[in-house]
Amino acid sequence: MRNMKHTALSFLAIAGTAVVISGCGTGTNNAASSGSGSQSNTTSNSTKSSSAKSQKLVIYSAQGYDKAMGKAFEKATGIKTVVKDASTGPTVADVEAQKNNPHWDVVWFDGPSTMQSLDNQGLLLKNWTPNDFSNYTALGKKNVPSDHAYFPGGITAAVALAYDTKNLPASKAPKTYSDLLKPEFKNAFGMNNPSVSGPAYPFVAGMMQMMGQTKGKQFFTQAKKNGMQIFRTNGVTLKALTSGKIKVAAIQDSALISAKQKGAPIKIVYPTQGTFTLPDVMGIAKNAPDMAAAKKFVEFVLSKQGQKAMINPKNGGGDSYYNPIIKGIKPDSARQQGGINWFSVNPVKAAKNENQLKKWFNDNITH
Amino acid sequence: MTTSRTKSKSLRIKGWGTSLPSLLILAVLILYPLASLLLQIIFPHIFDQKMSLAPSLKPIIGVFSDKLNMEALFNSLWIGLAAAVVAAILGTLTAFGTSQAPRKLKIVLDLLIWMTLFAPSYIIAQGWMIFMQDGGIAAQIFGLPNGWSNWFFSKPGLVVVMGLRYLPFVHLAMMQAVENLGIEFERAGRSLGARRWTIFRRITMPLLTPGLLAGVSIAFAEGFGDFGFAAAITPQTHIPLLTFQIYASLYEAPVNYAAAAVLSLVLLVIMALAIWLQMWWMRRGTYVTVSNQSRAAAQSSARQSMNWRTTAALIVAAIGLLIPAGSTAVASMWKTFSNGIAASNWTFHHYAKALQLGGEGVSSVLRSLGYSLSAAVITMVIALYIAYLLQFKKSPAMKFVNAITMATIAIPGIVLAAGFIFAWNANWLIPIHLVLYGTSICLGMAYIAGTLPYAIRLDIGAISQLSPNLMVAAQSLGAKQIRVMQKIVFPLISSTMVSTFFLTQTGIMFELPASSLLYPAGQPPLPIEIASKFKSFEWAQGSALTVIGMIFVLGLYGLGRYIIYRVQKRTIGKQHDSTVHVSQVEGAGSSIGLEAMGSGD
Repeated sequence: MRNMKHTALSFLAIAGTAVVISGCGTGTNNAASSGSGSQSNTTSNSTKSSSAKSQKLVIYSAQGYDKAMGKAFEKATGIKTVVKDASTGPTVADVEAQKNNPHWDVVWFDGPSTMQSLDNQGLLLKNWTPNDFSNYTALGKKNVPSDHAYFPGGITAAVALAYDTKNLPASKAPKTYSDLLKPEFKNAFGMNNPSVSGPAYPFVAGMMQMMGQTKGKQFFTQAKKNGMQIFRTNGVTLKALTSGKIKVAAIQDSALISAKQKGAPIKIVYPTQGTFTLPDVMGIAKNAPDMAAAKKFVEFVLSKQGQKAMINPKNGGGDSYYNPIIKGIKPDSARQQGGINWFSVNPVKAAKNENQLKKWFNDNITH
Repeated sequence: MTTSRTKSKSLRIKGWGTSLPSLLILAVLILYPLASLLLQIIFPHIFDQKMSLAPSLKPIIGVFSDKLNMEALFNSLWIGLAAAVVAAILGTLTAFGTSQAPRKLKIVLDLLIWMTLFAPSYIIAQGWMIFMQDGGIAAQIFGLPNGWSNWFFSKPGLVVVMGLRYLPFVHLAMMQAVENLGIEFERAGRSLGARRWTIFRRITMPLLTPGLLAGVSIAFAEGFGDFGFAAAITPQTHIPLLTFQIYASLYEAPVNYAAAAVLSLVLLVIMALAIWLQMWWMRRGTYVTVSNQSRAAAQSSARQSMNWRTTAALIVAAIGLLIPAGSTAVASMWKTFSNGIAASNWTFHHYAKALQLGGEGVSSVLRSLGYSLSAAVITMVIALYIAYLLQFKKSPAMKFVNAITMATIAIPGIVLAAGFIFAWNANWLIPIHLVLYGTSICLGMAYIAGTLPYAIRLDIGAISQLSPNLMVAAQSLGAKQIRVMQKIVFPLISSTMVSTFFLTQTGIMFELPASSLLYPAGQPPLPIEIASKFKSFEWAQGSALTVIGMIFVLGLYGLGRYIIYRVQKRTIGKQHDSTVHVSQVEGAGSSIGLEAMGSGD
């Protein structure tokens, strides 16, 4: 019996610590929650979600600068903000699973076609215009859908070509997409899997839009015949490039700029036929628990104050190397401005063909 | 004990009454969430904004007409089988090697195997990648050219690393059998003039077969349902696997919950079959498991010299754990990965950054510690309660509970987690204020649900070794149930309870699927923080956080071993040496997912 008491005491001690620790964790990091331990605020949370009167702004996001933006917004407005940061896939999965009872106010990730499919399902607030809509440049406005269901915050290129200067002289560098089909790039070119990587699908959809579906598919089939390699995400493809496994990588340009800034010996080429736009996009939940705060947040992102926080690489890492679409905001000097032939991918069309194209790519190119 | 056999109606009702709390716990944690997901196979629109109960066979047809899904199923089956065979060979070797090892080496081997068992799959897989990839650690040490490891990033390579990862399951199942072999059969054979090979073929093998088959089936089930390897290695190798297809339907846009549900069902059925086979084999092997543990101790301490089996076991166990774990540790100390092993590239900077006070790294570690410790305490208590009832109250209701706990071992974490979203965010919960989704309670519940079935099996393993006569004697002397628990059950199974606690605790520290789908906004636990570092290409920081998490787990594990040691010292008495303690922990541990010896009902 004494033994048991001894053991039971050790467990109680551990359990006690656990409650204290979990209490601390909750309290310090979520100013929005009632500040009590994890156990006690359940009822209040569930009450909150059902009564539609939320006291905080909940942002589901896959952007590098999301947490910093949450903090900046909280500082600017005093509205408590929590950010759930994940990859685009899990973020969308979470949003779709909650479609009958959303717990988020704003959703934010790269790639308007995926956002368009959330819009098509009726999950987003439509026909609302932010106060500072006029802050958008022409390119910015061009990327806002006609039903105003989501708003771009900045633009990167879904794809740019990069080569490692150690392995390929500038004279031999590719200038167009079709250069990649040349024998000299046999088994030496890689891109991301569009089913996984956010920016890769706009590249595929963009090629179909620019070349037409038959020629677009032909391009990828020929590239595969020429030994094109498919990697999962930007990071993996980049590693393949810098380790010399491939000579040319085709990935989102902000990731390339970031790698270059960190010292990777790479050069970036924007294909002359057209560089596909990849806006980051924000949508508001149709039944957002805190609609007023959500609207304010979108306006904050489109404001100069918000943009200044967003474009700082200290806040957003690679994602901060975007091309601004708000008047008066200067891009990071590491970004090339001139000589880019931007090509806007139609998100409505891209969303419509998304399942079919991704499946085609998966069955015929990836595997 | 005899209640289930009597046909009396009132007793039968009482049977259901006692099992009601267990049923309720399982319903809340497992049955309701699972049903919420699986119902979408037939009613794909049940959780839409406007709920619709219109049935449709589209999801099933869609899943089975997809070439990739079928390829993934086929791959998972044969890769799982091949990995189980590799695990069988390696696990048998390590079991023999360990049982014949000198005492100190035995402890080392024991630790290596247990750490391999505890280590999260995706961390092991990630470690192998860091080591084997082009320009990775192996390439840097030995100056290997690009493409040297292409053979590794292929199906055979996957089979080998998965075999190494699952060898603990075979090892633990075999340890029991090897240690219980006893030398009397061997001696009897020899005295009758049998040769070594004959003894091995006619005596040793038949005695070991049930344990081996049980180990192989659980290794297959684990490999078949594994997500860590699928997530880390499959994408690079383009080998479609079933768990990855489930992940893809849930995590990659466009999301398809119905497809995830159908594939989950396929996974569930096959894994349940494997686990059922394993239990069937265990039950058939009764003549092995009847032997008692004291003989095991006597035998294992009899041999003290190093032989080739022990050496081989050490090499295998070390490769399986130290290469991936070491690679992760090394990567966490490189300033930049591409500069690699160069002297100027080593730093503790990433640790300093991860441990910055008030920073996200520290907060996530503390959060996961909080979750894992509280959930481990709750799991331990519930598991003991249900295991006790399962062993001693054999009513039809408890048989049902037993079936559920066994079947749920087959449910992959990601499937259960997806079920949790639907189940605990459903419209019908709004009026009764029970929308738990988005709260830490919901995540905690998912953590408990994920580990409870294992914990219950573990406890049953220990409880089934208690003699029922003890309870009957106590009860006939007028002791009430709670007193029987206090005085007899607790002291005898306390070491297993501690094992349960740490199994749960470790599992939760690095649990990825439920964490990523269910964590409350703004409060990411450790695995999410690690994944987010890897996502933003901060491999070194991700690895540093992983190592920090592992240090916490190891520290707690060490504490656990110490508690077990102290408890056993007091319970069993000082005459038992630590060899007994090691073999007993293994005895308890071998029923992780392995059906308890003799719990057959």
